[in-house]
Amino acid sequence: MTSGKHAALIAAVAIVVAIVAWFAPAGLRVAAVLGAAVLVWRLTSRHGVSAAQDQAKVAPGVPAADVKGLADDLMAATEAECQGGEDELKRTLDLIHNASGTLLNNFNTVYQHVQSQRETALQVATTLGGSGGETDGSLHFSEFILDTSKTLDSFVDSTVSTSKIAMGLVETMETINDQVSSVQEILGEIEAISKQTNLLALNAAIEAARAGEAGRGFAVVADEVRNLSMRTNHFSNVIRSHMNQVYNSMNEAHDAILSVASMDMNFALQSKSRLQDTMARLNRMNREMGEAVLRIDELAGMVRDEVNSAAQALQFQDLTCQLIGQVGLHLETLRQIISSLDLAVHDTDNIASGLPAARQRIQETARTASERTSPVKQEDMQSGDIELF
Amino acid sequence: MAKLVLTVDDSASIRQMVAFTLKSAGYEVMEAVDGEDGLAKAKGRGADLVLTDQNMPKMDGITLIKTLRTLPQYKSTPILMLTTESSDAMKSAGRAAGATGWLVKPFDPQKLLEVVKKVIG
Repeated sequence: MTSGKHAALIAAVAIVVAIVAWFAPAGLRVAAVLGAAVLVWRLTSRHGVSAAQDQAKVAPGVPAADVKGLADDLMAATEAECQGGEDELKRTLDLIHNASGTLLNNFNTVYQHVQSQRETALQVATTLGGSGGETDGSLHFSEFILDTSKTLDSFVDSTVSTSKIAMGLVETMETINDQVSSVQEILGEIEAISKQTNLLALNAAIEAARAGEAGRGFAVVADEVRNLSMRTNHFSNVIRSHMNQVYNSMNEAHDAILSVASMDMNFALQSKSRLQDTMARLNRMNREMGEAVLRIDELAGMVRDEVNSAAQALQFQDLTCQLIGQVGLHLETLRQIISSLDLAVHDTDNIASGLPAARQRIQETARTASERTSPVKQEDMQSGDIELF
Repeated sequence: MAKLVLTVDDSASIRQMVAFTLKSAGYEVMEAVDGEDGLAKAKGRGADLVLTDQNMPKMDGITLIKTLRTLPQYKSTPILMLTTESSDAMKSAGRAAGATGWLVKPFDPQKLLEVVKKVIG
C-alpha cells in the first residue's frame, strides 16, 4: 500500500469518528472526539505522517486488513447505535402517544362530568326556584313558600278576627238578656192588670146579682170580662215560659261565645311570627341555593377553560412526534455518510480515486440534509396563527 | 341537521381533540388518518368542511386539497389547513392549492371553534 493511501485512510477514519462524535449524545461525543485524536496521533506517529501534511504519503507497513477492520467496526458500531436510537425513538413515540391519548380522554371525561353536574344543578335550581316559568304543573319551591305563607297568614288572620267577632257577640248577647228581662217585667205588669180586671169582673158580677132582673145582661158582660182576664193571664204565663226558655238558651249561647272570645289569641300571634321567621329562612335558603348554582355554573366555565388549555398543551404529542421523526432522519443521514466511507475504504485497490468520490457523496448527503427544513418551528405551546385567505 | 366536518391528520390525538371540540359544539365529525384516507372519506360522504394536516404519510395536505378541488362536489367547500408548518412559502403553496385558511398548531379549541363557525356557521 502506498503512503498516499495510508494518509487517505487515516483521514477517512478520523472523519468517521468525527461524524460519529457529531451525532453522538453529549457523553459519547467527548469520548469519541478523544478517540479520534488518539487514533490520528497513533497512526501519524507510527508512520511518521503529520495530520497537517495533506499531501504526504503514508509510510508502508500498515496492513490494509487493519484499516478495513477498523472501518467495519466503526460501521457496525454506528449501525448498532443508529438502530438502538431508532428503536428507542419509536418506543418514545408509542409512550407519548399512549399517554397523551389517555390524558386527553381523562380531560374530556372530567369536562363532561362537570357539564352534567352543572346541568343537574341548573335543573334543581329551575325546579325549586321557579325561574323557568314552566307550565308542567310541577310545584316550584319559591311558589310553594309563597302559597304556604299566604294560606297560613289568612288562617291566623281569620282566627284573630273570629275572636274579635265573638267578643262583639258577647256584648250583643248581654244586651239581648237585658231586653228579655225587661220583657219579663212587662209580663208582670200584664199579670197585675189581668188580676185587677178579674177583680173588677167579680165586683161587677156581685153588683149585677144585686140589681136582679135588671142586672142580668150586665152579669153576662161581667162574666165575659172575667173570661178575658183569665185568658190574658194564661197567655201571659205561656209568654213568660217561652221567654224563660229564650233566656236560658241565650245564657248558654252567651257562655259558649264567651269561652271562644276569651280564648288566648297569643298562640295565633306567636304562630304568625314563627311562620314569618320560617318563611324568611326558607327564602334565604332558596336564595343561597341560587347563588350556589351560579357558582357551580361559573366553576364549570373555569373547568372548560382549563380543559381547553390542557387540550392545547396536549398537542405537544403531535409536535414532539414530528421532531422525533426529524431525529430519525438525522440518524438515517448519519448512516448514509458512514456507509459512503465504508464503501470507499473496502475498495483498497481504487482507494485513491474512491476517497474523493466518497467525499463528494458525503458532501452531497450533507448538503441535502442541510436543505431539509424542520416542519416544527414552534418553541412553546402558545396557540399558532390563524389566517383566512 | 348537524354540519359534517372531516378531520384529516396522522396524529390520533389531534383528531381526537378536533373531534371533541367540534362535537361539543354540535358538529358531526368524520376522521381520516392520512391524505388518501381523507380523499376516500370525502368522496364517500360530502363534508361541509375539511380540516387537514400538511405532513402525513401516503398523501400530504396540499395534494389532498388539489385533488379535492378537482371534484365538482368540493369546488367551493371550505378547506382549512391545520399544521405545524408556519412558513410563508408553505402558506402560499396552500393558498395556491385552494385552501380557505391556515391554522398553525397548537390550536386553541375556542379559536378553532370560532373559525369553523365563521366558515360554515
